[in-house]
Amino acid sequence: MNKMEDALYIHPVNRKDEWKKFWNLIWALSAREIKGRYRRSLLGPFWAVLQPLFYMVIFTFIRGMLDIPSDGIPYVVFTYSVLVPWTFFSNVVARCAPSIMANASLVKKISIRREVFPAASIITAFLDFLIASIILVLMMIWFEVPLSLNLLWVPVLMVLTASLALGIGLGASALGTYKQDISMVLPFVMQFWILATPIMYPLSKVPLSWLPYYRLNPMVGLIDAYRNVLIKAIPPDLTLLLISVVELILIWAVALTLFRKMSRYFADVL
Amino acid sequence: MQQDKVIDVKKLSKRYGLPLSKSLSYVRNLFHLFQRRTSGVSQSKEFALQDISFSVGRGEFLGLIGRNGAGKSTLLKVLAGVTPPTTGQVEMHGRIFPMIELNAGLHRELTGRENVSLLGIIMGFSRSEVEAKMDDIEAFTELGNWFDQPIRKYSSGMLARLGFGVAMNVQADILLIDEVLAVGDLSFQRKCFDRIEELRRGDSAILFVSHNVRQVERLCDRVLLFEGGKIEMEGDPTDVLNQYYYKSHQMVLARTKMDAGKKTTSSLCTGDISIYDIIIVDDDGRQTDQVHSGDSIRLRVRFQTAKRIERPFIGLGFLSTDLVIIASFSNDDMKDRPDFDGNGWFDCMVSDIPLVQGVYYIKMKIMNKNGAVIFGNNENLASFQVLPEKGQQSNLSQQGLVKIEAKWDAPVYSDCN
Repeated sequence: MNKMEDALYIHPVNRKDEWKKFWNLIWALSAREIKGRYRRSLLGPFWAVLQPLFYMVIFTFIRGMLDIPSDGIPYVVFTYSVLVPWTFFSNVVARCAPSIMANASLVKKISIRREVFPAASIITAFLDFLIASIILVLMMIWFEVPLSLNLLWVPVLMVLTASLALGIGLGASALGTYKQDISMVLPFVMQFWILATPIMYPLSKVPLSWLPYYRLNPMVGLIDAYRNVLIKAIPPDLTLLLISVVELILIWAVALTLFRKMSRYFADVL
Repeated sequence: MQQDKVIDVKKLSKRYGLPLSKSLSYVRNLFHLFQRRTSGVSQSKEFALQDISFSVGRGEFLGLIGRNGAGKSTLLKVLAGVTPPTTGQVEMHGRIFPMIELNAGLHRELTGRENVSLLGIIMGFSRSEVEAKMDDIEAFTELGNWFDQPIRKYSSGMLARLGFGVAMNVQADILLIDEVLAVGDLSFQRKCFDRIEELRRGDSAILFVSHNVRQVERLCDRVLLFEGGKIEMEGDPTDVLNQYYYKSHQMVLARTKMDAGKKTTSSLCTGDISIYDIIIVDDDGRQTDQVHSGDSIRLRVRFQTAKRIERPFIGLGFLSTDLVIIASFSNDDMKDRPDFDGNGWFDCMVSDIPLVQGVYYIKMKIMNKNGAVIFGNNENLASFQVLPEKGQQSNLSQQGLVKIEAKWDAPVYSDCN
């Protein structure tokens, strides 16, 4: 087997220009997605609110049968407040994974950094997040949720959530481009994940003996933090958050390496 | 320093698929235990390109021809930087515009105008650059009111116009054109060719993949002939295309010979008469498939009839490789046309073959005395190669299909007394 090291593709380009192209393309792809998505739909942007509302209704229904405490907070706002960031997270992952496949014709045509396609998913998901947040703000006003300076954590948490989702999305899209199995299994994983995260129930309800393993879910720290700063007016649990950050870094280290290596050959397998 | 070569390829080989390290391929093989081994796995590991070296300078128009799967499109992909080379070195200088999949990235629900700006940005231009070109592009596409309609309402030709409008109106140093000029109606194609000619004068290097050999001959300065992932020949369009013709000719000839044993089962054949083969016999009575321009040749047709056919009309014709009928001739003005009965052959003499070098097919048609077709072939019964006139070197200025005798006078000057 001869080594592949002697293969070279030289195309001198201006680095600054490349970054500009990268950003331009992210915006163009997002704009295409957003404009195209709503142009022929009746409800338009309202669809963004529907998904978390839908889960909220289901959870409220389940709560009617099971005894689920909500730390003394009205259950609707208790669950919706974290469903909004969760939906953002799951939307990014769900759009990242097939993003290379969906843009196959572009991948085969232009030599731009392949990260463009997963990254463009964030913008559209973020727009949905903003729309869903409007309902959340209305709810918080209605239920007279106490506000505090802890709300300043929200942007930090958003960055962490987006990074985590993009990290997982990069890995999923790298592998999913080669083997379809990833996109098949992803919906199940997300279903399981939402139940393994304190969204329907409070963290305090998780049995102590499970907790060491339960906390390994990187979304636990993030979701608990959202709930604390948004509706409990207390700072996040920094230990839990630290676990999430460490895992986030690990996931990025693995996913980005994988993506970098595999993305060069995407055009070969599409 | 001014770079003369915009594309420089050295010993490039390309094998599709992800190169796996040892440990990874072990894991991969484990997975493959669960799957049935397909022959595709080993096939995908074959080289799509092998040991390719060439370079292209500014303002040069290079044609790539070859059979399907010979590696032309793979080469364009490697040059565009879409897929990495396996071994070897590729050097590109300047802005590349790959016209590989023109309509890649369009959104059906968006209007033509919105899609144009999207396409422009996809190709690496800024929003303001695209906006500045928008009027030119709109005019070029000639879409009129359609330009502001969602493209899902477009016909495929209109879509192609949109893609071309962008491609033809942006400035690029290297244009990679992959078999896309076939779309669009004639006047639009013509417009694109004119524009390409303009780009070439503007010092853009152009790589052009096409199966339309006439287009290649007309447009390109130099042609690469690909075969099985390798460059088989490189050089002047006329020379390379002759080689390409010759190769196709060999294949056609082989196929013709294979069919020769069987009786022709053309739909136009009533079975009253079958033609075994047509051969060309030279002055010395030997069979040949190479003649010289200006030679006299003898076409010998072997036939068998099922019953007596009274005074049939026989027509023969020469076709170019792209099936243009160049000349045809028949025995209808013959005074006493003979009857055909039994197993035999007849000759037809053609003097002073007026064809220029190239490969030609022979077509044949037989009608009974009432004018009903009893034999006609759509496929090629035979083919032959015409070489330059005896005693003459390959004449590069001889393009086209027919040989024309021309005499040249010395110049006459008006102030000459």
